[in-house]
Amino acid sequence: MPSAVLRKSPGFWKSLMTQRQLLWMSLPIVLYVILFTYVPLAGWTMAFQDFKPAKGFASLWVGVKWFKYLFSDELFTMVMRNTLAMSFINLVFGFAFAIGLAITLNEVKAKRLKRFAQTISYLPHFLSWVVVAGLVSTMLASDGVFNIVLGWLGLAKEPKLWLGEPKAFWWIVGFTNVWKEVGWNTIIYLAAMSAIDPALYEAAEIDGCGRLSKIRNITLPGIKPTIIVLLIMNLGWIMESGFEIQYLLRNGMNADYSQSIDIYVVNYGMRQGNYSLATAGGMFKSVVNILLLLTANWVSGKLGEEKLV
Amino acid sequence: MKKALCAFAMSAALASMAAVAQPVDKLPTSNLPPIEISVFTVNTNFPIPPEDNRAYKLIKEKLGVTFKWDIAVGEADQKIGVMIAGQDYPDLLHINSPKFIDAGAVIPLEDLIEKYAPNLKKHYQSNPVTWAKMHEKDGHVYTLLDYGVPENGVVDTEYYGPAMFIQKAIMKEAGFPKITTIDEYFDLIAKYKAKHPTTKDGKPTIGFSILTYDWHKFDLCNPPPFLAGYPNDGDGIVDPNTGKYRIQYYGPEAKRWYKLLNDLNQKGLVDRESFTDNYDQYMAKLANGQILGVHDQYWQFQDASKALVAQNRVWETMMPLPIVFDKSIKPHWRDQTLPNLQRGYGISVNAKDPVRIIKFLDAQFDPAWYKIMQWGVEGIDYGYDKAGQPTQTKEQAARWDDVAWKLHNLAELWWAEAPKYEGHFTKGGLAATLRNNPDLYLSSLHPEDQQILKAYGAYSYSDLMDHNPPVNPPWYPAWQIVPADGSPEKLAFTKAQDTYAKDLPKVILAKPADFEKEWAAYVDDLKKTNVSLFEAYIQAGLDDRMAKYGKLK
Repeated sequence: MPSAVLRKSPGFWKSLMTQRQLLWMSLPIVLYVILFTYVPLAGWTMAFQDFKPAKGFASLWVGVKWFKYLFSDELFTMVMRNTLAMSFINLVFGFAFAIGLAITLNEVKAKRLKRFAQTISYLPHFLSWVVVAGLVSTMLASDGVFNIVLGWLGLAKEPKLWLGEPKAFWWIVGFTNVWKEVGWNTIIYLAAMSAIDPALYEAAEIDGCGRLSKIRNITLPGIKPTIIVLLIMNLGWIMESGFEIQYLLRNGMNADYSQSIDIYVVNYGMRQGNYSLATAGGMFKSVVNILLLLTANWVSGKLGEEKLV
Repeated sequence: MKKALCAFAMSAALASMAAVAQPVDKLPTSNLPPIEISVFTVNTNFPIPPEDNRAYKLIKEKLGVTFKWDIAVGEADQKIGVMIAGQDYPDLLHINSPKFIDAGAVIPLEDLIEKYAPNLKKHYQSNPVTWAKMHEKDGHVYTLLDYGVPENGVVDTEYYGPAMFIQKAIMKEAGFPKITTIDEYFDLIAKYKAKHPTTKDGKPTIGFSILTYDWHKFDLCNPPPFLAGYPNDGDGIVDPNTGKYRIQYYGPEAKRWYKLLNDLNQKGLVDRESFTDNYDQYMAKLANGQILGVHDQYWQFQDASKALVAQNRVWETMMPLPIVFDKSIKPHWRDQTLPNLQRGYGISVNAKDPVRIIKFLDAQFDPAWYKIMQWGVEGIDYGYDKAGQPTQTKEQAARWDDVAWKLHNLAELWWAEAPKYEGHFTKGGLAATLRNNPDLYLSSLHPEDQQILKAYGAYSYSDLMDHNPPVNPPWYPAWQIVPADGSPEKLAFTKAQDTYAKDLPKVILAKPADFEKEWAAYVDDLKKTNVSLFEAYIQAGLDDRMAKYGKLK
């Protein structure tokens, strides 16, 4: 490598010139990001005001009043618990099922069957949440498929109102997410697996490795970088447990377990015209997300693994 | 299908233009410069009218006004919140809550009405209490009320208000008994359900259902005051003697009602799924004729009834009954028409020419224009008999009932929220709403309804609910007093509502032995929400009204 070190670096302006086409191409995206994700950050000032639309940003400054309100509100603690729990379930299920399915598909030797299974499994990704929520609530109704099957299996004496069982809600959300997204999430793992050198598998076979040990020693290490990058990125979404499904499936009976931060922000912020509270809630969420993302990234780097930035 | 519809509409429009130029020529016109008025509405009952709509064409021709519509689909409150946050308003805003007013989105109207709108001035100022109540706390009028300001006497036929509803078939099978108490009501339902466990198409019948979804959940907490003989004061009860207000969620009458529901649940008469159903699922059950009894307000489920009527299943639709706890109580379900405060159009701060707009609003408030928008064109859609009463031929009546025809010929989307005539055009004259005129009303009733009304000796379902509702005290109703968005009172109120939505299903579904325990837990949760803040706010509003307009009765 010494030759590379010795080569004179081309200089900032020169490389700028040689890469100018790339720069032009990325300009619209950069503008988009600035305009739609950085400029609106100015709106965070609303979180420190008693914002009244009639007065605009000349509203009364109240410091951290709304944050104090949030953290003293029992309801906010509850919605934070729900958000984190559902998010965690989604994260674990999302990884476990997607990786599991990807490995299984990868092991399928019949090409047609593999494609068929893959297509079927990622189709639900394209359904809107409204449709999915309709399916779920029909299936979980007291005369729905779920109760009928439980009855056949002799697991339940009488049909239950599953959407009225507060403690079942997190799991309903978790499994619905799996059903909807698992196929879609496998695509990136399958792509990573196709990049593994087939010679490794052949060598392993000659050394007498069985299927399982090939999976353990070649496939999994082969997709490890992908898993880690995805994990870091997903940790940045830990405060987002989703909005639509909870919003559509919640009802009075499961309210204690179904309300997420987003629903809290809509119900007690937007719908009440309390924009300051809504902003404070949203801002808290973003800050936690960024901190988690950076921490995960730093830890991963320390452990000598992939890093995102 | 679409083509056929278009062709039909066009031929209808052409026919109308050619055949009777006469009555249309006599319409009052305006020579003001043409204007496009953009309108935001949360009324989702009517789609955006097509280009060739006859009534809007006439409005454009004669009054120089075209509309640009923005209908709030989905969550209206959310859409309004976003509009306010961006201060992005069209010319006219359909006000249906204090949001636009509190946000400073609308301009004061009292001077405009005084200077430019003689018709509206007469309409809103003929009753001084109504006019006084139309003034907000800052002393300005922002809303041109859409309903509840009747002229020359009220006409109520169809009943849109709250009631205990029961399937018409049940009353028929029981031989149209006169029932008044809640026990008699559920007795009839239980007997009918035992005899008819399924509907004709094999779906299970449901004894009593409760709409609990999202903001519709008021059906869960509204029955107790009505059953105890109090009028609709929103979420509370006003003591008629002392004028003291209390929230209705946990009084003695509430406990009595939920205990009763708890018992009924044991007998399998309560729809357990109604606690997890959404609005669509509720409507589907009603439209299938599965639900035998329900407490609701008719406007909230009239579409389900319409669906049944369209399939010629009138007996499976619902009729209202003025039910109370026991015979000693005088029912007060139906109340006298109230000004629909803070509901109707307001002119936004972004409107460029408010004077032109108020002049149009005044011009359209004319019987001739109201007829074009709501009745149709004389000679084409209706005629008059020798006594001067409006009539319709069978063909005209059938066409008039067709939603597609209305969409192309009447201006329903506009007049629904516009300032308008209710009651009668003149004293002792014609009813302002076409089908409220007696001959047309009676001939528009289904034979099934005629049979029911005859059996009870009532002119209409409103009449059946209460022939002569008591005079409203001047401060009534308490539900018109609403705390400001984002205030601590409003926040406490929202939490209290969330609490009853969460706890009452548990109370109703509890084992009878656990009822007292669940009830105590519910009352405890309610007290934690600081709902007394809300009660104090309403009390202050009531005291203020009593001081201004007079005490009690």
